Parts: sequence; C-alpha cells; structure tokens
Amino acid sequence: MKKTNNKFVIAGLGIIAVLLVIVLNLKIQNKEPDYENMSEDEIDIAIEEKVEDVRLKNLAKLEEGDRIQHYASDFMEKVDLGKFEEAYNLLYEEFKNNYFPTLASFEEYAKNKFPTTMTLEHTNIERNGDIYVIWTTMYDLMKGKDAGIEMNFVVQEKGLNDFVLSFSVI
Amino acid sequence: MNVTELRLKIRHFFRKYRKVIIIGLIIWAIIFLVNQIIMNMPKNYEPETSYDAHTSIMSTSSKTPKSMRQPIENVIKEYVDYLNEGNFQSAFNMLSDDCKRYGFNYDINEYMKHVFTKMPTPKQYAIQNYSNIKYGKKDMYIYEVRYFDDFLATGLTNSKYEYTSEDITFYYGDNGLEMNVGNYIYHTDIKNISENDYLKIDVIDKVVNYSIETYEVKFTNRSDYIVVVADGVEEDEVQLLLPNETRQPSEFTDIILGPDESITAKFTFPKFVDDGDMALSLVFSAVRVMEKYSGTEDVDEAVIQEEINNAISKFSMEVAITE
Repeated sequence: MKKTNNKFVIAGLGIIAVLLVIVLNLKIQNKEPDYENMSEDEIDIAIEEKVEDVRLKNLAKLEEGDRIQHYASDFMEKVDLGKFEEAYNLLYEEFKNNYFPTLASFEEYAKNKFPTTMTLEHTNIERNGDIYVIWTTMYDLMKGKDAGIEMNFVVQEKGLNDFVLSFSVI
Repeated sequence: MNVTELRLKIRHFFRKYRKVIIIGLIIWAIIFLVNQIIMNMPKNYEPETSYDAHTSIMSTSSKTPKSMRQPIENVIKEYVDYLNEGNFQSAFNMLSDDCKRYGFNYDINEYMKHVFTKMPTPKQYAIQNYSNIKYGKKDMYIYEVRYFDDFLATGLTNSKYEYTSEDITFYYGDNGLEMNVGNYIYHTDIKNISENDYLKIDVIDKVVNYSIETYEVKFTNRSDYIVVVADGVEEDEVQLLLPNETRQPSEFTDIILGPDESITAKFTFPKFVDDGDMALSLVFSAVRVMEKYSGTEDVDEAVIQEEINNAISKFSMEVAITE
C-alpha cells in the first residue's frame, strides 16, 4: 500500500516537473521584447509583430460582415497610401490575369480611377458559400456622395486576415 | 488549550492526513499548471463565419451526419464538373433511378432542358444543407446548390450578382448514396380507390418536390351520363385535405367524362415537404352527373346554372392518400 502511494507521488511530481517546464517555456516565448537591448531592425520587427497581433485580436472580435468589409477597406487603404504592390498581392490570381496582368497596369489604373481623397461606403453584403459580395459607393470627399461610383468587391476569406479579393473594374 | 497543545494537534493532524494532503497538493499543482499552459498557449485566431454547409437552414439543430458530408461534397463536385464539361449523360447517370423516372421520364432531353435553365454556361457552385426530412425509414438530406459565375475572377465587372439554385436530395438507397436533382424529392405509390354508381376515382401515385406535391388520378365514368368532376364553375372542386386546412391545386385541367370514359389527370398542390403536415385525402366536392352539358366557354351563365340544377346527381367524393 505504501509502495503504491510512493509511486503515485513520484508520478505526480514527474508530471508537475514536465508541466512546469512547458509553462516556463511558454512564459519565455510570451515575454515582452527587451527593446533596450535590441537593434533598430529587431525593434521594427517586434513592433510589427505586436501590431499584427493586436490587429488579429481586433479582427477576431468583428462580426462576420464587418470583418469582410474591413478587408475591402484595407485593400483600398493600401491603394490610398500608395502601397500598390501590397494591394496587388491581395487580388485573386485569375482576376489579375483578366484585368491587371502586371503590377504596373494595376498601379496605373489605381492612380487614374481611384480618387485621392477617397471614401468608401459599404451598403450591402451577401454570402454565396465562402464568397462574399459587397456593394460599395466610392466617392471623392471633395465632390460628395452624389458624384460617387457604385462598385462591388468580391472577397474570399481563407483565414483571419488571410483573403483574396477582386472588384468591379470601372 | 495552550500553544504546545495546539502545535501537537496540528502536527498530529498533518501526520494523520499526510498522504491525503500530498495527493491533494499534487492534483492542485497539476490543475494549476495545466491552466497556466492553456492561458499561455499561442492564440490561433479563427474567423467566425455563418457558413456551415452541413447544418440545416430550416432547423439549425439538424445536421448531416459526419460520415455523409465528404461523400455528398464529392458527389456534388463530380456532378457539377460533368455539367461544366457538357458531359450530360454522365451527370444524368448519377441520378437515382426514381429521379430519372419521375423527375425526367427517363428522357435525357428533358433533363438537359432542366440543366440549361440552371446553368446555361459553366458555373461555380456553393452548397448549403437546407432541410432534412424522414420518408419512411429513409433520412433525406436536402441541399440547396447555387450556381453562379466566377465572381472572384471578374469582380462583377460589367455583370450582375445573379445565381440560380436547385434542391438536391441525398439519401442512402439500394445503390448506396443516391441523389435526386431538380427539386424532386421522392415518389410513392398510393393506389387508393373511392367509387359509387357513377364514378370511380383511383389515386395512383404522388410525386413530391420540395414545394409541391403532384397526384396522378384516374377517373372512370361508370354511367351513361356526362360526369363533371371539375370545370371551374363550382368553388373548391378539387382540394387537398391537410390536418388543419385544405389547399387548392395550382395546376389542373378540366375533368369532364363522357359515358364510360376514363381520364387520367394530374393535380399539383403547393406544399412544402418539410412543413410537418401530412396530406390526408383528395376531395372532389362538386361532382355533377348530367344528362345535358353544354360546357363553359361562350355559354350563358343562366344555361350553365340551369344544367347544374337539372343534374341527375351531385355529390362529393374523398379518397384517402395517407402513405
């Protein structure tokens, strides 16, 4: 009886030791970066990771429709900020082949067609399987909503903040 | 009690319950550490989506069994691929024998007409379990399949958001997983008869689609007179009796029988297969046996009424149709 108890205690302590190692390992992984002892590049990467983590946290909290609309807005924001390559990489491959075979052609189109003080107003969204269609009014803040253009975004979400999209070429 | 006694009691307590305390501490420590691991695990953020292809829209508690999900997805993919390739014969061969017979009269041309209304050009598709029903001992899983152009490839440039859809039903039959398309759900023989001296009514069978039921009925005039079952003159000439209501057919032709004549006709009633109601009987509530019948087209109302008033017999007949 005593031997059985000792075995139980030894096994229990063994399990505790293993769990303790895992907890310590996770704590080290989750430790806040030591910015003081990091190079500038390392700090940039650490901040980027932190921002991405916060972005994912916030995205995960959004309702389905809001999240999908956010993707479309995120794409247009990249265009607005001149991050054409990042925006281009979000486009669905076949859509790119059909309308913008090169980054240069997309950049030229975006510069010509999208207003510099652009605002988007998403008016409707529908889902067909895992494909979402968004109805959007795009307008120039300086000209007002009445001069806006009706367009669609089509979004396929593969995971959180992992998506491809296309839009109605105007 | 002095301090020494208290110390002795505590020591005694720990000696007596040492094993229990150690075991309790070990268990507590394990629980605490597991909790710490869960709290410190790297978080995988997953998007929440309303899309669950195998949970019924009509009743979210009703789901397709896990073992059937992949086979159903595979069958739909194979089916749509055949249609997109224009291989209609192979697609037609995938249908259950019942569906080929009662849905399309074993006629591939009739089937192709149906296909062209749904997908005249190659399409993408999306599936959604719409409703699940039980027919006899069979569990039937009804999916809504939507067909649409490749929206992602065009971004809806110069095109509208449009899609067609049809109900595709899956169940396990004699040949394994069977598939019915074109909203066809099932067929059942009824073979119930009601008769009197003038008229014999034989309800032959019933074809059930998702939103309609069609009954095939044979009428036989046993008299030397004209028997009018339905010509649109009387109200509610043909009705489907449900437990709490009656329904009028959405489609039927006039039933007017000459002496000893037999006519087979079809009556289609609006009825959803998953509404929980079971049709009880077909009621023909204004049968008229007439010596003289001038018809209804271009005939004066007074003449029509006079002929009805002079009818040899007027009666109602009911045929049970419970399966």
